Amino acid sequence: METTQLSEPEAQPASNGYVIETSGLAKTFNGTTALKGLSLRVPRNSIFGFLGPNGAGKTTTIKLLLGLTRPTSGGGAIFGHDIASESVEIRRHTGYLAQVPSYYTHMTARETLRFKARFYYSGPERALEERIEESLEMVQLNDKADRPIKGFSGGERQRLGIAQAQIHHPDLLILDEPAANLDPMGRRDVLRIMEDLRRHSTVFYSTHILDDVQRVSDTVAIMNRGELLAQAPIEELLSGAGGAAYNMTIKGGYEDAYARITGQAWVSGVNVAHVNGRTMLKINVTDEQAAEDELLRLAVGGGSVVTEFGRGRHGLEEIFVEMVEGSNGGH
Amino acid sequence: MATEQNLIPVRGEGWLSGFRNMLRKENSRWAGTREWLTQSLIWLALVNGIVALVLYIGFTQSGPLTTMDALNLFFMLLGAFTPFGVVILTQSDVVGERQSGTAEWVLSAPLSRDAFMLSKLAVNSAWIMAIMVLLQGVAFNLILAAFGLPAVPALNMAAGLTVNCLHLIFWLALTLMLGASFHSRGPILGIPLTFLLLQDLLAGIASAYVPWLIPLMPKSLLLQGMQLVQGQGLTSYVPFVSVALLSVVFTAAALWRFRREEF
Repeated sequence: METTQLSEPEAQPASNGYVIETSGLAKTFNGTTALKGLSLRVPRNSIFGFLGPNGAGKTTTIKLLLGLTRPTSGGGAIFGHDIASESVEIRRHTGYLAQVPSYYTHMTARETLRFKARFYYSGPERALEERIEESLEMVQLNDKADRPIKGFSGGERQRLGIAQAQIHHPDLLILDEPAANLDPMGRRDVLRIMEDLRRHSTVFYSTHILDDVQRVSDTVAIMNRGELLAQAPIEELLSGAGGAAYNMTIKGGYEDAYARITGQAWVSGVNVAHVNGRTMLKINVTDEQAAEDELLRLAVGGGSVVTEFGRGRHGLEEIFVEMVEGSNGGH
Repeated sequence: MATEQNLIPVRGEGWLSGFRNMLRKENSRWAGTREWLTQSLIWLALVNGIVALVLYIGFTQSGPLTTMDALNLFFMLLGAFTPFGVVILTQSDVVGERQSGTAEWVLSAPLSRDAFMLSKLAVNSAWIMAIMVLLQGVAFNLILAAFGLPAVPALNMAAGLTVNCLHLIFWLALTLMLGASFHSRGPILGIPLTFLLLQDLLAGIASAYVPWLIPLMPKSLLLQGMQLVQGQGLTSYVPFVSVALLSVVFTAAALWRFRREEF
């Protein structure tokens, strides 16, 4: 499988530009390869979306980064510390939210945060309690702070998960599917919190909810079957993957225009949608210059009126599906 | 943040990083819940409850028992019952945390794996010794006083209780090692309980074929303990060395295995 490296990593030392760097990181479980030679670079202060369908190797990667599992081959560093041998030091500067957060259910939310905070701070008590209060407030759990966790809903557990992950204001936050299993309001809150956290942290999060990625991420990596398919700033990915797309809205008959456009060798595909008596064409092209010179001329005539025309953007979902299906051999 | 400058970061804990915090948390599992009370009542009933009942029956029906009779009964019950308690109480300490995901969670903090395991060993040892041994010793002396029997010499009593503490640490270390080695409760419970139930039979077989194994078995320690309590002195140091050494080996094996655990 060939990896599509959409952007060249910046040529600067790891400690300057990148919080996470892995090289050929691989993991095999009982003969099954979960991760195949992952080479990843996560820029400092980015919100890095780590995308992939179920079984893509996202959680395995996260566990390798945190020292919760050992690499079969390859390696990596976080803040310049080796992920295999300096895990405790890495975790001192990292916050983690698991895909299914687990806590000691006899503890309350406040006790959970106090317990977690004491791994990082020895005191003083007052400052510690202030930090806990601040975190509870951030995730809007103040009113439930003193209730045992066993009565918490999935959304509340997730919010508590974010609070405990950032209790020490880590330089890096690793969130595994932070918005999974949340209702739309919960998702919105989690995304808002992630954007807030970016002020003092790099956020590395895995997800398969593409809308969220497009909303908050600035860099993304796409994984499938343990392989990295692409890694790039999201703008680059949205605008540059596999040619360009143009949107055109036609009033009146569109059939002649459609026939003329699809007849061009540089047109790789045309999607047609009808909205309120108008026809919207999404035209994928392989030659941008030809498209800009020819498309409008090809569309007009025969009673058609072009009411809108412009450069389109590939949706992340479209790119994601194309890449994943491509790596699956078109299935 | 306003508080950021005031907070004092935890530093320099090395291979025991996070140990103190885990100690506090493990302790709260006993002290912060009613676990200590429940266990105290259970073991008071199982050990001293039976001693008191036998003494009462002796006084009212078959004739009064001596301090030595009561002492023998007390240490027999203590040695027979408490290892089962240790195994049952601690069998899910490691595997339960692994299965529930809390082990993964705490190990995502700057907590070393050794600190995770040793905190469990330290806190469980302390509470088990306090509830299953020391509390029982105190209660036993109160029962003797209540029945008007002379007290056991303090040094003899202390020696007997210490031997029982060492015996329970052996079972605790074994259970933690199995907890670090297996991913289901079956073998963690099954192996020590089978050994506990069959140890007399195994001792019989061993005496016929491998007699040198007998003094190495944990039950031999209890026999030496009884001799100490009765003021007879030790006949062999081997059971002490064997049990202590095996406890250290089990603990080391638990640490070694847990360092390699993958989550």
